[in-house]
Amino acid sequence: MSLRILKPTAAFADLLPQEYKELVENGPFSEEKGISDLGTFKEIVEEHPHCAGCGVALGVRLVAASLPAPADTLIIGTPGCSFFGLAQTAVNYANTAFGNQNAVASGLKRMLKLRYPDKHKDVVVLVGDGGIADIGLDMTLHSWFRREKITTIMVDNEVYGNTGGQESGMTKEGEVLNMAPDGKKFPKIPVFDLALSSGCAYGARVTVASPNKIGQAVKKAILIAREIGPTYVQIYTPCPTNFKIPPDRTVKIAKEAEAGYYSFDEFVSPEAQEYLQRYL
Amino acid sequence: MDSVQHSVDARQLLFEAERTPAFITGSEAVMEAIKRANVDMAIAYPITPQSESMHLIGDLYAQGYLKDYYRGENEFAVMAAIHGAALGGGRVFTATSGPGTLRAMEMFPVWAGSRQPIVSAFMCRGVSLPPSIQPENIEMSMLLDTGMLMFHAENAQDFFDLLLKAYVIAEKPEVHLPVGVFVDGFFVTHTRDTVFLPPDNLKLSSYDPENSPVPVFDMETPPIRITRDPLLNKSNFISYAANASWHQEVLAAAERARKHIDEYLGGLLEVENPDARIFIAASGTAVSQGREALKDLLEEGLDMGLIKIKSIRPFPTRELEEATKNADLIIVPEFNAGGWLAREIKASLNENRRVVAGPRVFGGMTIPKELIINEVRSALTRQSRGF
Amino acid sequence: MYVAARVDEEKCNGCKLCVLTCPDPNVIVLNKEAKKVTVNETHCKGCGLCVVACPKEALIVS
Repeated sequence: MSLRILKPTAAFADLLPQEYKELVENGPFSEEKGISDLGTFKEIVEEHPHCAGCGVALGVRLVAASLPAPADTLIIGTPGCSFFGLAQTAVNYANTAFGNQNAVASGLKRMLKLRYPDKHKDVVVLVGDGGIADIGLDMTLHSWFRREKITTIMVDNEVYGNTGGQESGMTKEGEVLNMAPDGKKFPKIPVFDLALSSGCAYGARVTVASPNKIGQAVKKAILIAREIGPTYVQIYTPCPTNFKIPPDRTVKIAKEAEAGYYSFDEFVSPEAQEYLQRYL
Repeated sequence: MDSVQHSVDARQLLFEAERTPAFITGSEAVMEAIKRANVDMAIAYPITPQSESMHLIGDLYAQGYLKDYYRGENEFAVMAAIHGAALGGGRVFTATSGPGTLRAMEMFPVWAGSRQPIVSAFMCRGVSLPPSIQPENIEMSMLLDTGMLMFHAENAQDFFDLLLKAYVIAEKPEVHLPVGVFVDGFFVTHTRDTVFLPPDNLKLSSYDPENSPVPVFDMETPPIRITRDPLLNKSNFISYAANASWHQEVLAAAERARKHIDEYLGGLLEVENPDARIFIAASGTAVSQGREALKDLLEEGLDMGLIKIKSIRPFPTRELEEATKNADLIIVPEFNAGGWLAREIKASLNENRRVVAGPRVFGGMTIPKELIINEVRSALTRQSRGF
Repeated sequence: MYVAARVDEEKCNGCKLCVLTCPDPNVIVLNKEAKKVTVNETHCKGCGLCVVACPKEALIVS
């Protein structure tokens, strides 16, 4: 994106909302910003109706702050909780039909490659656990099998939050939720392992308790997807609302999970490793 | 590619360029159309009887006529990827049939609501259960309110021309809607017919995404915060208002397509023997069978005419009312169990007891002309007895 | 007037741990010269994650 199209004319500038002016003057479009800069620049995510203490909101916010090139990033989402923040984000964002995000991203990335062969257009899927592991699983896997150059990021709150708290494929076995009155009968779907075996060049498993790790993982994932192949980042983003937990416990829950089943994990293909070394 | 293709004005390609005859299948006619359509990207998935067409499109890609092409994993995925590619600002093509159409269903209102000038061929066949791969167009009835434009081809010549014309009409900025070009599978796709083709070194000029009424999705077109999705999560009121107003705009865009359909298709319908008192009204292959029945009935001295409906959406309500204002009887042969075309015709006419919703065949049967002739005779008998 | 997080400026040392746990964007902002954070009360939802994160107990929701 050329900043020329973002900057208002002087006469019009006075009429625009304060948030817009701040985005032009102090946003991450002209100067690269990262997690460590948070609090000192105008973030591209705007005010949103996520619940107080929402882990997904924190995940979306941290991902948005980690984009290496927000001026040329396009986000594909799907219905769920994640799109509350994403629809308020200053990048092109498409929602479409539930679960089809990786198919849409495949088509979009290829067309943008045709139209802008000399530019990197980072197509990023940012979706919840229901959209990736359940309804969209076949399309997610096939985008990986086909080696589409897109980044898939799951904000995993282990529940269908937006529809009122139903069991999802990523819910832990035994957890009692709507549509699982006796507790979930099968284990958490191993999407992270599937990413590795399906041909992703890079994968990372992180939680919102480690914002710097999220920053590094997202940056690596997007860079590697530019040239090498599909990449995947799975972020644990706890939901206080549907799990009936006080909203100030979200990060603590994520931290506790890091000591167990949500420990930090990462895989990098040799090709991707070489690319990172050349690039960074 | 054998030779360099030249971009030409649509009117030149479609109406002025000299045409030479080719004895080809309907599947080959699809290939010939897309070859001249300057398509950026096509995505394919196998299902009978459209697979052959998409194999040939793949060959076009290998020869350099398309810039990208791949086989998707199911029809919902393919139509979703087509949506993504169209978001990115290029000209795209795909096709499907029967159960494939139904599998992709959610995407058609998404295409229309996103105002994407996508052209998709639908080579209609039976839907389960019980399964049938044979010709039947019940799937058309299920798409009538998706917001897509719908053209129904009678034969391979129609199929060729309608595919090209679909792009021209779809991409008019005041229309900018997806177009389904429908044909009855096997009857058209797997038979050979003479099709008159313009030279293959001519092609439509490329799609210009800056002529779109909605901004292109490429982070190069303001406003930067684009979402094609009503902000249902911000407030229900905004959601209702945005959704309703967009739907109204989709309907209005289809209405604005009428004049372009008149210009490029020569009208939303065609009438033979306009002064007749009895009409066979049909679309698709049923028109061909209607023509056969018409010949015999005219020889018997009946005051017969034929109405070929080419545009199903938008529907030629006014034209039908005009064409049948002096008619006593309208017979509607169809290749589907539901009788959707007869319903559409009845809904368009004030005096719709004149409409006979038949004969209908389904599951892949043919409509022999005798069936249509008998239907006319039975209807006339009923009328003479005052029923 | 709002239920929101409030900063005790004497205790805050500008470590920004609160900034990294706030789910909402542009709410907690660092004043670089003063090395202290401020909270945009109108955008704060009062969830309290920053309160829990602060090692200096410089934040309170009220």
